[in-house]
Amino acid sequence: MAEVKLHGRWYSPFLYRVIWALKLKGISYEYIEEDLSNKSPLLLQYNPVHKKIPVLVHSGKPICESMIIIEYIEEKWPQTPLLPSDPYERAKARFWVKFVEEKAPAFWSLYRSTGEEQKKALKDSSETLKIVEEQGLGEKKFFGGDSIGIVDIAFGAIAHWFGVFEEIVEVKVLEAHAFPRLHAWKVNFEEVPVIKENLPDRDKMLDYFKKRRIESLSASQ
Amino acid sequence: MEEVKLIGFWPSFFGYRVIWAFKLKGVKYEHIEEDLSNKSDMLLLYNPIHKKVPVLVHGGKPIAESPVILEYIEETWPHNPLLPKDPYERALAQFWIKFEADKNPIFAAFFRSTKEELDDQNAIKEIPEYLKILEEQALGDKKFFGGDNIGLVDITFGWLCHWFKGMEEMRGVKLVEPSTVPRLHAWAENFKQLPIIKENLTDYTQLLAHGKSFREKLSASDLPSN
Repeated sequence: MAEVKLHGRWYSPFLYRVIWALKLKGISYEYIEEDLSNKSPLLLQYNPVHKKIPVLVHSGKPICESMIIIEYIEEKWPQTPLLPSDPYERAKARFWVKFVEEKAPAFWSLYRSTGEEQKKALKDSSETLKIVEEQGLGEKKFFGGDSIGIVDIAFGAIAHWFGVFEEIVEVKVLEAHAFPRLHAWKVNFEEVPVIKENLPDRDKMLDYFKKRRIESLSASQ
Repeated sequence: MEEVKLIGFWPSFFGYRVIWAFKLKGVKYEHIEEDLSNKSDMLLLYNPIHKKVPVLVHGGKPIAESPVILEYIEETWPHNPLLPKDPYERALAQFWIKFEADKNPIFAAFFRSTKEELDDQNAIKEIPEYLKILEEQALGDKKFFGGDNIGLVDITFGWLCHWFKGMEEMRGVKLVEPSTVPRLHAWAENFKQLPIIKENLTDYTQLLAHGKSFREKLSASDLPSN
């Protein structure tokens, strides 16, 4: 079998999206930790345009951008499909992946900012959650239906990291009383064995992101 | 056969991506013109989340967002393929399609910028680098992004050959030039000369007039298309 390598950074939600896809499909891979403060020549060679992780390298050929990597994985390893087979349902799934990607900055902004900017991030992320809950999830258990699919993976990463950010900035947004179905979805998603067994250590994450927030806020004074 | 409708707004290049894909695949469709200054109930029904065009309605089922629509078209009408067969090559094509979508705000900002911002070079500073990346990494020595024939990546960047020219003319700057990006400049010329593209472009004079009036009315609202 041709070799699969995954370059990542332990605290990245984008990395975890790819890990979940690989694990769900039972694909073996070698993980390579990248130091983003001192980018390796290999990373710069594999991702010259964005210089970011994750990068999947399959038989020496690099693929960048987490959701594009997942679509590639889906095509090469069709077992445990993450996309529906019907073209219209696939289009709907891709619509939601795109939506979630476009709205993700607000979730990061809640964590990164203070004052007015943070208030705006709070408003934007709440609005996004409402749309996702009502129009994306609806009455389904998962975005993928009875089992998780590409939209669950895309949004699941954002939602999990958002939970860590909520704890750090002491603002709760994704709460059961405000977003009952989405909250239930998050609980169910994080109970799926492949997800539960493949999450970064929470204490380590809290510690890392807390430190990073302090550093970046003081740097911008 | 199920009916195909395309809801669009005549100046919008996003809609033209879909038109070109349909023309290349010989798919018959009904064009429905939407007035974005007075959005129809139909648009709000079919695209409640973004309220934008283009929207494809196939057999009554709506799909929004031009990259999503293009992939749907490719899967539903697979003849005259616009994406490579090889999964790795497809991933590369998707990378550039995403790159275009992610960087689109740079051009929206350029289009909306004030004269001071333009004079200060702030409004355009990211564009030369973007064009260089396209030329060197995406296009390389190929005639088209898709190789010998055009594909979805060419269609996605197609606005550079016509709509961007309009923007350049309106703002009085030249950015896609043979002196700075010769291969990209040649690509734009070749793309525009293809019969299907040439016969399916917005009237340039009307586009300029619309652009000028749009800039005059600029407010906090978003650009009309996605």
